Amino acid sequence: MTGGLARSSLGWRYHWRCIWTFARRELRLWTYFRVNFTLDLLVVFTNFIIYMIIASFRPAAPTAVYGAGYASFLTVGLAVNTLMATAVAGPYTGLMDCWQNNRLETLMMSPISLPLFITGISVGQYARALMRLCIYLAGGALLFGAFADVAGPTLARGASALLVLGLALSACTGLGLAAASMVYLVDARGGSDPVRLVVDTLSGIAAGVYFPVQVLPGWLQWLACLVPQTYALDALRRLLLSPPAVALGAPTLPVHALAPGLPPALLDVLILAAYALLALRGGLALLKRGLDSARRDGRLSTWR
Amino acid sequence: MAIGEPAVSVRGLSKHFRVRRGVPVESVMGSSHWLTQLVIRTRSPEQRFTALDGVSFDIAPGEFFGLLGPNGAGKTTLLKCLATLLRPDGGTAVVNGHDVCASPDLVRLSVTMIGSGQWVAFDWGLSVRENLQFFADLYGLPPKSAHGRIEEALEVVGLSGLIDATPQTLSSGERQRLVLAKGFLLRTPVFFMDEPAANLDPRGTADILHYIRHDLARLEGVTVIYTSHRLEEVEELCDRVAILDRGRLVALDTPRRLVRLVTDVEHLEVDFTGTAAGVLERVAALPGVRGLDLASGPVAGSAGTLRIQCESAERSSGDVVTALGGLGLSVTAVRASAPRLGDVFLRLTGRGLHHGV
Repeated sequence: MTGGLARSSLGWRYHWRCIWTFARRELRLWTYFRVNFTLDLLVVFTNFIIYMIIASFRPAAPTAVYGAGYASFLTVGLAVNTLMATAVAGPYTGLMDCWQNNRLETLMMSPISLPLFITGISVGQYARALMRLCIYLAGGALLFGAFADVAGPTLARGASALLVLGLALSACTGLGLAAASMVYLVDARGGSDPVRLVVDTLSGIAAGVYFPVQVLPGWLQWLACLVPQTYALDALRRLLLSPPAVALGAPTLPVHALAPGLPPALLDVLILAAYALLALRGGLALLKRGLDSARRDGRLSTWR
Repeated sequence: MAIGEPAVSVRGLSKHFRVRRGVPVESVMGSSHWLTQLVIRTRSPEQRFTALDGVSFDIAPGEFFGLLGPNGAGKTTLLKCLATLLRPDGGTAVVNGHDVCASPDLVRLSVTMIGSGQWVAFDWGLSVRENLQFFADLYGLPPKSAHGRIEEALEVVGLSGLIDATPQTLSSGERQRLVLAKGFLLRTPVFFMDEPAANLDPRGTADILHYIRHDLARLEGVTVIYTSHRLEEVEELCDRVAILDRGRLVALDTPRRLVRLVTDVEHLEVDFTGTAAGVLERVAALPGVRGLDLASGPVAGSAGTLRIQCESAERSSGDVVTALGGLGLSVTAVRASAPRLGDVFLRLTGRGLHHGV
């Protein structure tokens, strides 16, 4: 008789294999109905066209602070936001999918850790988000002349942008974990939750996805500072779109005025790093608490 | 786990559920659901339901241990507590040397859970092989051995010919075989089997039970906790049987010793056809009848069987035939019968395993 699975055998290879096996499964299910898969792509593309056409009718917005036109501004906003929105929604959606399909108990009986479990159930949504991102970037550049007015980023700026993106996704994942915890903490098993309600509303209206934060009323600009998307979009546009002087220069968010000695982009990065640390730790703690509560009440599965 | 330690040790295990008269989740799907549930939580009175009430027992390594009880007795709750899917409210449980509350991760590495409804966890769009590969990866089976294990498990459950089929095209019995195949991928020291043969045909049941008893338990020495409503299965397979009723452990012994508890009465089996209200109450009121259980049926128009404990089978058989005839039922056979585990349950709890009084 064997002594069960050895913990030591579950190293990094095991983790990568798990993520790959979740991704492979999602891809198979996503492309199972080919008509729907094709329609998914078309919907993303048509939505993007609608955004850009509306944008072409609006008066000139003060996007000059980033040193680029509105097409570039909006394309970066949409592309980055699709990833961040996935990070916020992924854990909740994945958990609910497992719960509704009675898969949660079976997965919870496997030796995967909680972070690996969350990564696994979100990986398919990241694949979809990457597809949207590609459509936004390609559509923006080819159809609406986005990035034509922008010099290509230097290696240092590109690396910094990747760092910002990593911090932003970490912060948003932390919020996503908190949102997923609501499934059990406040019994939010009906498709929505209070955390995403607040974060999505603020990020949609005020974080600067569709228009610069500076055009908003002052009080709304302060509310925008509550979500990580605001800092991520500001820093990424500075790094990817602006000439060097602008990236270090003019403040765009109210918090920039609080530390006038620091370059705004650097302040964005510092705030994002702190946000990511706190949100990940807090979100994971909340989710563990939610799952513990489900184990106490027998709510892990749809059927007790 | 140290030598001589039980594979499973349970001491005073208790589990209560808080039940609120709430709105079913499905009826308020949408943006207001979480708000609705919050209101229900604060406004509706809470009721407490005891699922496990101070249950204690030890199971030796390699033992085949049966759990018997009617629906709602606490069998599945007990297995879920031992599998770390439910957190007990009181008492302790140690599986393969690990406490279920203190070291749930280590417990999960030691156990395999096979349930009767677990086929819903499979993806309808993936093939049988892909579904099993998914779980083999999650359970950390090395890729080189996973392929062989999958084929071996499918052969055991008789699904080799359907390796490229999708679960949506399988019959309910074949889906249950797939659940079993997933369980047989691993060789953990402890197996929890919650009605594993549900939905299987008699031939399939016999083959699977032979594999579990002979190959898994005897040859490989795994410890098995087994629940089933089929008494003959439990009597035949299990080294010892625990009888649960309303969350309490009411008896624990070998099947042979348990049956000795009811040798002071005689047992009758009465086959009948037809349906009528108040059959059990009418027969229970007959003189000399000490208890009875509806062993099978009756579905409208089909046959049913009553198991009756009585002081004298000879005297009671006539009374029972007359009583059933008076209710419009047609008796097709009456026979004396040997005592069974169901009779033990009836004696200990005053209720039948099925629908007895």
